[in-house]
Amino acid sequence: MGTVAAALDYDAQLMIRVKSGDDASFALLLEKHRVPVIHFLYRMVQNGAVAEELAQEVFLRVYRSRGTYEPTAKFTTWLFRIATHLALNSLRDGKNERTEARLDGESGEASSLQVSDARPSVEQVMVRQSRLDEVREAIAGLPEKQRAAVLMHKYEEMDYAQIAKVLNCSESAVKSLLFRAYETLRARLAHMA
Amino acid sequence: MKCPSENKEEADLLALSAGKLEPARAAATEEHLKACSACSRFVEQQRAVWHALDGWEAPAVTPDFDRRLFQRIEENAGRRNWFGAFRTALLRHGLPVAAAACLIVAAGVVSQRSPDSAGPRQPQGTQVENLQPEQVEHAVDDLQMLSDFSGAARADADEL
Repeated sequence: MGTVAAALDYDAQLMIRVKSGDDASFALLLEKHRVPVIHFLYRMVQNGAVAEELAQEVFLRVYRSRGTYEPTAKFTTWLFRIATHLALNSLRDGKNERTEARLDGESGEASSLQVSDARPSVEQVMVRQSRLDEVREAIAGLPEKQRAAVLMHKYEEMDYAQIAKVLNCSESAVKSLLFRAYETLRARLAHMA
Repeated sequence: MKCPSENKEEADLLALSAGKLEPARAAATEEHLKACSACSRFVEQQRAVWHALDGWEAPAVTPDFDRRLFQRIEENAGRRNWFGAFRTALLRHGLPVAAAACLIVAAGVVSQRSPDSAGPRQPQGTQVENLQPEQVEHAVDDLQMLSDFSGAARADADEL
């Protein structure tokens, strides 16, 4: 049944094609999942360069594992399991010690948030920066597994079951992780309403 | 409806805050919020958190990400081809290759230990096989991850 369910997963079908030597299918998988994986890793380690390096490793491992790939689970579960594994290792190794001090310096997000006909004042920019720093610090302050669970729940819109499979724990454990994480975040960020 | 806060069922409140609760349940919960200050405060604060997290955008991906990845894949494939050729040679001509390898190693040891060998002695570091610690670490990580994933996949299959 697990295999049947996974067979409906288009990504798994692409991966099967990669297994049979179709590199174009790997390019499709990369195109589809590149940004979510890098963004997830960025929010985990809070360093753009480290996040891209880890994402390279994620896709390299996916490609290297093509020969032994079996579609017994959803492809994204497998993908984010690799990404989470590498992110947690990186955090434990302290490879991302040079956490970026500013969030918008390299991201171009400032331009996306600006109103086209009214440039924000210096005060507005500083307030916005301060709020983003608070968010980043609040997330960074969470225990690793809680952080991963929140990021998958909030930004990747994964349900409890899928997060549980990625983190290799039960759904009730995920609910508990998320509840505790959001409790912490509410205490730190609720004033930003 | 039962009060989610009192019954430790905040999952509904989290889902409502995220706009992910199915409509009928969302309507009932919204109705409950009008009469329950604890749940109402929970949802208000959770929505504030959600809004704050929405403001955190990740940076754009660098343009040469794919090129770097495919370059690494090619390099990786090159190393594997070399290793594959060596392994094939070893399997087909195991004894001669092993003998040749032993001779090379023995010659190296003899020249290293010979007191009257010409030339300066090589630093010990140069004799060490060029094995990168990261390669070992990655291999161990791969094995651990594949092992974990196989276990989880089997559990999934059993459940379904």
